[in-house]
Amino acid sequence: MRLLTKFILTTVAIFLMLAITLSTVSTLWINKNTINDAQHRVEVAIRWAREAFNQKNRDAHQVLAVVAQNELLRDFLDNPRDPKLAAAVQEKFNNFRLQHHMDLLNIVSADGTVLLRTRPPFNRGDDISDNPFIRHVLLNGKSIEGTIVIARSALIREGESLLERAVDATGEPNGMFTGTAVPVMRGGKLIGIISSGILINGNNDFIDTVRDAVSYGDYYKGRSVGTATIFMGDKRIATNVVGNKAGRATGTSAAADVADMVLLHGEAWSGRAWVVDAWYLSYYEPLRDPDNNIIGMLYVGELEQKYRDIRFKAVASVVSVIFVAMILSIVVFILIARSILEPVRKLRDATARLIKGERSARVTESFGGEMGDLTRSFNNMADDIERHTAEIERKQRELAALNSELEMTNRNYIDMLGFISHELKNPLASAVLSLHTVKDGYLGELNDKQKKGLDNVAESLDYFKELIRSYLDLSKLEKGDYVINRRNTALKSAVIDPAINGLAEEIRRHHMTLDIGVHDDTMVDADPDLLRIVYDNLLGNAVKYGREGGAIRLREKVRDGRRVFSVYNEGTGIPREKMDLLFKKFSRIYSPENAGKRGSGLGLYACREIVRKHGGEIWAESEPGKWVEFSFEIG
Amino acid sequence: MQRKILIADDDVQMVSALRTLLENVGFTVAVTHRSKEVVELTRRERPDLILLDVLFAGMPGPDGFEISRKLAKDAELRTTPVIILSGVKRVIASDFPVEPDEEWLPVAAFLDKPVRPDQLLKEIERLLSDRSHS
Repeated sequence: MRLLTKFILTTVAIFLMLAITLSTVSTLWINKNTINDAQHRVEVAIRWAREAFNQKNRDAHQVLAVVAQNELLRDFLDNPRDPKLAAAVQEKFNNFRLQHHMDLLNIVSADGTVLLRTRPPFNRGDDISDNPFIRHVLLNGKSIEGTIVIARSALIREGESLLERAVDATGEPNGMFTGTAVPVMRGGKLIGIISSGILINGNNDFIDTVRDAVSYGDYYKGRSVGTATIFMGDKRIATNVVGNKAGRATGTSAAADVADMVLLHGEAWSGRAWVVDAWYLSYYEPLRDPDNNIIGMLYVGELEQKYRDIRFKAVASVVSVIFVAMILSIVVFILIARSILEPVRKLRDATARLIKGERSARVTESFGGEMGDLTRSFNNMADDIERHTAEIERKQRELAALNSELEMTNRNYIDMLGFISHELKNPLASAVLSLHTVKDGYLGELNDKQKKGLDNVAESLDYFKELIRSYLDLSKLEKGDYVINRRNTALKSAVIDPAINGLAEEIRRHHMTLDIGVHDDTMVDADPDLLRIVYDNLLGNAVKYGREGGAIRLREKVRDGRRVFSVYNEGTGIPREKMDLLFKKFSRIYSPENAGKRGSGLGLYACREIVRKHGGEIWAESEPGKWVEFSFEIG
Repeated sequence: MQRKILIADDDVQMVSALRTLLENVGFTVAVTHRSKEVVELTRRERPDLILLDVLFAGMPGPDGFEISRKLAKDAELRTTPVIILSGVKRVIASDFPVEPDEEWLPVAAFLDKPVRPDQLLKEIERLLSDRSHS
């Protein structure tokens, strides 16, 4: 994988992990905070709701406290049966009740009997001392405010319209009232009680006032953000929660676990609540009457969707910021990585070009820092390589030139050798023929002295002849273009016999015995002309260096499955330390015994060349002072 | 009757040495130094045997091998035995055999220079007696 790809993948992986981690953490943080915040808001809201709720009563209480000082009222209490007074009070207080949006405004005697109801049908004379407000004032002589439940039987007395309102709104025959009762005193003595109340059941104005204190009437996606509900027991009797059917959800019940917690155990309940058709962050607390009995619940809730959406927006914006930042970082990182890798890429390209043989390949751009050092080192190295290579090539060219010069020189030498030898051969041939014509008596008999003199000449000519032969052989062999012409050859008749023919006279002269152990039918795959040179040389040596009267033996043997041919002669042999020199060009082994015997120093060298050209080898064995044997095998 | 031998060789000394030997042992000798003349001379002189060199230096004309082939093709002269007498055998890069051959070298014998008188005479006697028998 390319380095840049690795960088990019690693970077993306790291940034992705970072982004995911950051997103998760911030999402959790936002969740926790928005929910906490919302829950906190709800808790604040219920205090506002409670406050708004109580404010109504306090207002009523203050109004009634003033009214309690009213002289008309006092006169009426002193003379409750005075019809004119009653009518006057009736009219004035009824107006007052309507003016202050009260459902009830009753004047009660000091023993708890209703003296006057301002609301039609103006029932009176019944004892309501069991009403918690009245009972409280009768007992303590002090005013009181709060919320109470009035049962159906008592509610009917207040006016059937109120009962109908309660039942219509909530299906409940009882009514929950919030209100106040204030004592009317004269001279420190209770002379009566004035009490007011507002029926909460189905009282939309009332509950909307409470709600508005909480959420200022905000709407979110068609739903009121803030909701408030008053429960009588577990029944919604006043609410601005919209029910499943059109209209408010009065008459429905609270969830059982909430009712259980709040109504039975008197504790507040807060959390998410499924209210009719949506989740609300909710707070419920008990509503108590002045006797501290739990008579219902006050609820406020904030639509959770709003907070969810806020939260979603927050999370979305945070996460998108993180991801945008990440992508930007990756892009920046890749750009940086590219610029860092640029020298590496250049180096790689230059190296590849260098390897392909483009010696001038260099990194031409200059970089800073370690990469700069690296590219400079590379360039220096490439310079060195170029210099050294050029040097080596120059030397190779020189060497090649020298070689071909040497070859040419050698060639010229060889050619000259051949030419000279051939040119010498013609005069030699006529000299030999003339000499022997005289010596052998064809031109008349010679005396012994004359013969002896001519013998010396003959010997010199023999040596001369051998030299020429050797040089010719050598010149032929060393011409590189010589191709050996192998064919099936009868060794004895085609090679050995002609070689012996030329030596027969000399063998006779030295009284040597010749033992030819090569069969007539022995065939070899060899060049007969070259093999003739081998036998000429080996036999010539055997005669020349052999002991006077000694034996010469020609043999064919089988050694390690290969045929070996040998020429053996008795004589001085060859010292062990001189064996290595035997087959070298121009090497002549001098020894006292061989003094005066001259050789060209080329014979054995030619033998080895010939044998090797046949893929074989030649070697010598000797017992110094006794015998020597040359053996060869051809492939 | 005296038998006649034709010597064809460019080397004056060699011819002289051969002539001395052969005349002393009783042959009549005809001589030429020019290869071009060999066939014509043979036709004219009708020798009993020809001693033929291979390389004739310095003069244009056929070599000994070519002459031998010409003689072998000539109906009149083909029976005259030819001995090649030459030092060429060990000189030429012999990647082919240098031996008497019916097609390429139609001669009776090939003697390598230098040759000794007894060797040469023995070969001549052999060929002449073969011929007289046939």
